[in-house]
Amino acid sequence: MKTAILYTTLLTVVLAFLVMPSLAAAVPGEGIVFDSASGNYNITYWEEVSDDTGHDLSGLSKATFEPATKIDPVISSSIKMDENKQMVYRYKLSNGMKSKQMLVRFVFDLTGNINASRPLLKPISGTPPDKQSILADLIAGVQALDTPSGWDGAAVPNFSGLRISWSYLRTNFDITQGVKPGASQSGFGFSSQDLPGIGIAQLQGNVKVYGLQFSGEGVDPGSDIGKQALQLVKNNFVPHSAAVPTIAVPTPFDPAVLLERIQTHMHTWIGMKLLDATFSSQLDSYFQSAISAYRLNQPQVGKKQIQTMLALINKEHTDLGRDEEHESDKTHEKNDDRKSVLIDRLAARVLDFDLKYVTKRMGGDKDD
Amino acid sequence: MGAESDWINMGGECAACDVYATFPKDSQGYCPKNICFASYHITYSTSCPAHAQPIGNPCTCDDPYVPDPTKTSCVLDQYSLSLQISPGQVEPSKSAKIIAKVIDTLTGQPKEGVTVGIKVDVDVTSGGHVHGESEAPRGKGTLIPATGTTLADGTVSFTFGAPEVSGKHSFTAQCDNPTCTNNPITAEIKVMVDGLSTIPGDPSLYVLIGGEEGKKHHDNHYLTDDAKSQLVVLAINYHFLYPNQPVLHLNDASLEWGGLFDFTGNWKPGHHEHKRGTVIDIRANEATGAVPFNNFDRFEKIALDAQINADIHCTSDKIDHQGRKAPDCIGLDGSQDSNRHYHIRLMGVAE
Ligand SMILES: [Zn+2]
Ligand SMILES: [Zn+2]
Repeated sequence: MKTAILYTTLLTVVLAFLVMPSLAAAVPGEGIVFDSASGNYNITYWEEVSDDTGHDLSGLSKATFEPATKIDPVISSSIKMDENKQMVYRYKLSNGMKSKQMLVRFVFDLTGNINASRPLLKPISGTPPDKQSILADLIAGVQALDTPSGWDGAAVPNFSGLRISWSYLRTNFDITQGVKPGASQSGFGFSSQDLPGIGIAQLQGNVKVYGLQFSGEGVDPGSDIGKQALQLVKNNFVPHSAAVPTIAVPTPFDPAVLLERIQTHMHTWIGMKLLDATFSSQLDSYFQSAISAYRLNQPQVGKKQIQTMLALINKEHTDLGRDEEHESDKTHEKNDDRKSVLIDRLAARVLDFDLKYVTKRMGGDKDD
Repeated sequence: MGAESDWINMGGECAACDVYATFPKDSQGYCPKNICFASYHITYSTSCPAHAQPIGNPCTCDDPYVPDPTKTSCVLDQYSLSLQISPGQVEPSKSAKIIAKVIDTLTGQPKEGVTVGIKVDVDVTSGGHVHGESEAPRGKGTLIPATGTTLADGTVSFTFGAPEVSGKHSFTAQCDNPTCTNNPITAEIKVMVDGLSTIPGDPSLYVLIGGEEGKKHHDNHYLTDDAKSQLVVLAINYHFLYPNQPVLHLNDASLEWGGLFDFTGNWKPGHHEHKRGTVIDIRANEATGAVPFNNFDRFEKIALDAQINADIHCTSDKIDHQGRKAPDCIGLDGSQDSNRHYHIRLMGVAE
């Protein structure tokens, strides 16, 4: 019996090696192999190790990496402007039926700001930090977020911007906790002075350990295999686009400058495959006309150009102002309008929101 | 003939042909040349000085002697050697150029064709490795070639391949042929990662461990300034979450000059990373002050929030054959791992 099991295991390994491409190889026998049956990566690596007496015990070792990406998540974003002209961002997470893991972590790396009792988006330098201010940032970050119960929210300044994260309050590495496949969770959010753009959220499923798990010191991070393994950890999330604070509103308000910023951000969508390049050029000509008109102090002309853009966008998608956060998943599916090839629905909603903001700040939506 | 053969001027008079009277020196102080007719023989009014022979007109210095600047005596040639290291300090595993230069001290001119030998040594306890050679001899790095010959500009270069271990290395060079007046000459280079400083003590946030007596390295808490900032954020967050539990117990970071951290003191790879001041180990076993298992989830979460990468390391299976796996690292026999710790990449990337 024992022999039979051993044989099956060996056969599986051999088949995996034959079928799956090896991502990297350095020392003979080293390699990272994706096992399609489990969705995990099997890592064989050279382990350099000596005992306390300096006796060399180095040799090949094995490890498994279980990615936290066995989820099929959807983020529904909702953006509103409140009476104080603050943008209110709300999110709902849904874990698709095809998911094999519970959804437990939701992260944004922002370059825009969120409203908090003290400024959180600021350059962090190598100078030794002041403990009191780190603590104050920590508390302000937690308080600035809307966080559903059972979750932990944090807004932490870092070297490149601001990391917003919500994590399910998992205990003892229990992988059965979190948003189950087919379920959803709303109640995530914050407010900001910045207008929405499109950012990429990072979503993770519930796995025991998010990094690599090895016995000993593990794979040498400087080796080819080590670099590949670290890359797996770095990309250990499912990306999903979401509306996030991105575009700062100039103070004092200047519609031309704001339109330029909206336009610049819009251009990044082409590379993200959210906007067709030709459609972008078409919008560019209206942007240019509107910007020139506001510069020449012809607000009515500027507004007309914006209204033309809004009409073009709304021709591609219906009902752009709809609040998707509070819809049930069924409604969301039902209302999912025809797919435009020119502009992604979320991109269209963001652009619709940002352009309408300009006209509101310039004296309302009413036609003259 | 001497290598630097030249006439030597003798006293006030020049040599004479045997049928003529003596000839006076010319306006430059030299004796006239070709003054004898055929079949007449040269005689000398005085004898040659030491280390010279009456060959030529009138004396030629013996090899390796050369005329002094006044051309009245034969002296040994004078050379001096200097060493220039570029750069003056080098990172572990990188290389530096050592340039030896020989000049003629009499003329100030570079000297071609001198054989220079060089060797490298290391201060065995430098770079924070107080264990010295108690476990094994310390490597010195490589130096290529071992000897070289100066070029027309008087220089010869050697390449120093720094070892993975940081420390103070010295080079000893000497002119083997001919001899230099300042033989041998030494110069030093520091093999080091620049910009590391020790974690300041702050018992309200963390406890520094791992440098106790009996350990191979006593000064084990060096980091870059950026990494220190990240560490403080992590420590404050952890203490904020668990104010009534022990603060983080910080084990090995990097040594004072970085480089390979051979925690067993045998100069062989010990810790991965821990070389450039951005990685630190945090106690997470059953010992005093460790992050308890129940806190692992939230500890990892606050690390991720600060873009810090936290791996759990256990005792290698090659050492205790217990198949220990993160996060709990419990052995096949149910035993706890006394070596379990978080291996923290403070900047979120591997060194
Ligand atoms: Zn050492
Ligand atoms: Zn470590």
